[in-house]
Amino acid sequence: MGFFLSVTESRPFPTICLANSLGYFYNLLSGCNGHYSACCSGDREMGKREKRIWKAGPFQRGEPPIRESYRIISHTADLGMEVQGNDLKDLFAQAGRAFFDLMIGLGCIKTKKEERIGVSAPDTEALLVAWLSELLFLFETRRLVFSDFNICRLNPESLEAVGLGETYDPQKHPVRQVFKAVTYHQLALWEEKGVWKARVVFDL
Amino acid sequence: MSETIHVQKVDDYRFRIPREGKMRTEGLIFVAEDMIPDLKQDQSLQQVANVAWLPGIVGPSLAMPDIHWGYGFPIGGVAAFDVEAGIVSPGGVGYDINCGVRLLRSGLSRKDIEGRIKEIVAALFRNIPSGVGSHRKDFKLSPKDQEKVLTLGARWAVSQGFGSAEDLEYIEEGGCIQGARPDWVSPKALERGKDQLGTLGSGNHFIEVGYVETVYDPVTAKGFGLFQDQVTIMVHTGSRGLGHQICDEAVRKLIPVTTQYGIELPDRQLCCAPLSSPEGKEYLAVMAAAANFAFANRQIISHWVEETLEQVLQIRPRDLSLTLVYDLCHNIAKFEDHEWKGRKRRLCVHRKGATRAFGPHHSQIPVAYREYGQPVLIPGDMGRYSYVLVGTPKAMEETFGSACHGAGRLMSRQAAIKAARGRSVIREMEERGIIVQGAGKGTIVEEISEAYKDVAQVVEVIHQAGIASKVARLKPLGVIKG
Repeated sequence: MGFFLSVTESRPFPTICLANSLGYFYNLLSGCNGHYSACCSGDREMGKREKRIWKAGPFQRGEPPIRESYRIISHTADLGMEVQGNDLKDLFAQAGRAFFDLMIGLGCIKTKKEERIGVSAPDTEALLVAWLSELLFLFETRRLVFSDFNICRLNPESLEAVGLGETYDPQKHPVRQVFKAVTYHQLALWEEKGVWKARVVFDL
Repeated sequence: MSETIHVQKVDDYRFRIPREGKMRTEGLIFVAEDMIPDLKQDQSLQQVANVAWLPGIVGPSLAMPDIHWGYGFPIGGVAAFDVEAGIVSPGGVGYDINCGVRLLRSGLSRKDIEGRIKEIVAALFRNIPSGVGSHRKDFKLSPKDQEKVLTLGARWAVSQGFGSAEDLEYIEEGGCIQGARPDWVSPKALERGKDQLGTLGSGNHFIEVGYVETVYDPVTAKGFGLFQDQVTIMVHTGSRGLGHQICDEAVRKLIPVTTQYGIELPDRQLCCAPLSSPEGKEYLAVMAAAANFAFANRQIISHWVEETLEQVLQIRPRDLSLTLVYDLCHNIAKFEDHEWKGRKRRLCVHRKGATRAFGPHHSQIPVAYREYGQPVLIPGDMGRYSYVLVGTPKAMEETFGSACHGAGRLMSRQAAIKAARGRSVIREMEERGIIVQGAGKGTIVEEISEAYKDVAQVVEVIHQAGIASKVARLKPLGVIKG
């Protein structure tokens, strides 16, 4: 089963982001894209500046409807989705939100607790799979569901984030579908006219 | 899409994909001609051709009539590899390692449970955990026990009082694949599996109460203990989160390994390692552990099904007489001995969404069935029927003793949801005499009959091709889904 996540950015690339020598993968060593007061340490000022920039854009995180950020792509046995975000960090954040929106529905998930999440992978495409796989793991084993994410650090091979959510409660969180795995099937991550897009398929 | 794949007719039920480019062998699809246009709508035929790239492949890249688009290998794909020169690929097994099905027969007739289906389904839904996070309070697995489950499979379950030792002969591989290494299974996989033993899972997993509606082969049916109108139970589930995690980790590990061994692939999800390599052996060992988890899972669930029926119907075990007909794997890679082109060979046979279908007199099928062949269980969608077939000598000659595993999806889940809009699927099913209860909001809707190929069509291809022969058809009366 799969979801394709495609992120599209319609605003100029945030100037606070540091582009690394590899070009379109940027290394935000100290960048925090957070909208939260409880951000990664040392990033509070940057977070506030970023918040002002982001309020101007159409894809500000935390604002409904999440479905403007992703679309479902048909697959015979599974589910594909394309998601779009403002930049690479936002892509990963939107991917995580879309993951839970498809599984449960973001409207039911309150932001009562925070969870630090870190993953690494050989490349950024694999990192997206690793990120979503970790969210699946946290859901299955720790019964955590998230409605928003602060991607604190993102480089081509690793990610650190804070997830905002709560403990899964079957009474409050009716499950739409349960993913078995995040696959590499038709996995793609690309930038198009300043917009970040990704496509991922989940096994149902 | 597979529109550019050329397909040549061999006969009415066999179509060849000629060897081209970097394919090491041809593809051979068991399908009826009128099913081919549907196959060309997705990448399944391309995937059959892609599998033919893999080193050490023996015979063709095979596809069963329920074939549809998968990851790397198509679902419904079978491929055998030489033990010296060949590879093992997690994509040739699938995420749900040893997803499989078992059929139980009872001493009851349909009339014995008439009017009680709702009660039975409700009780099964209560007693067999199926929703997210659900598990039975009376069943806890310690880390030591988990290690034994992964090593011993259904044998562990029997030792704990789930079913009886006689069941083991009627499970593929005796309910335990040798060579499992629980110590190589990652902590994450163990964590995912910890609370999931004895749970059904979601998607297309189910427990179905049905009856024998039609007997095609009375002699073999009698040999399998089946009779007209007999009440039957089918259980379809696999290795749950443990298996999924093992596959996930294996795919990630083997993508770079494939390159290190100089294996060129058209699709990274065909990632693999030589069977003789440490990485290949590691995957087989953890795959075996997951397979054993699934065998134990089905054995435990069957025991609870038996208890539930005894409670609801208020009958003694010997009156219910619930007996295992057979239990087999749909997603597995196993070492088997086959004769190919006049030569005896030890092969690693990958079956992904395909079923073993050994013919008569094979030493690996139960003694009681040897004169007939191995039972082949083909569940259909929840609204139609399922089939019992028997393996044939032709299967041993052409498909390494393999057949189809089910109906195969036709429609995406979104299309199914759209098709079901405005309909009450549960009420529709009830009007057809089938009681359905599910844990997931969308699961029942996504599993409507129209979303699947007609399993009768799939089975007819297999029957006419001579790979497996029809024995009986089962109709559902009640279904529970995760």
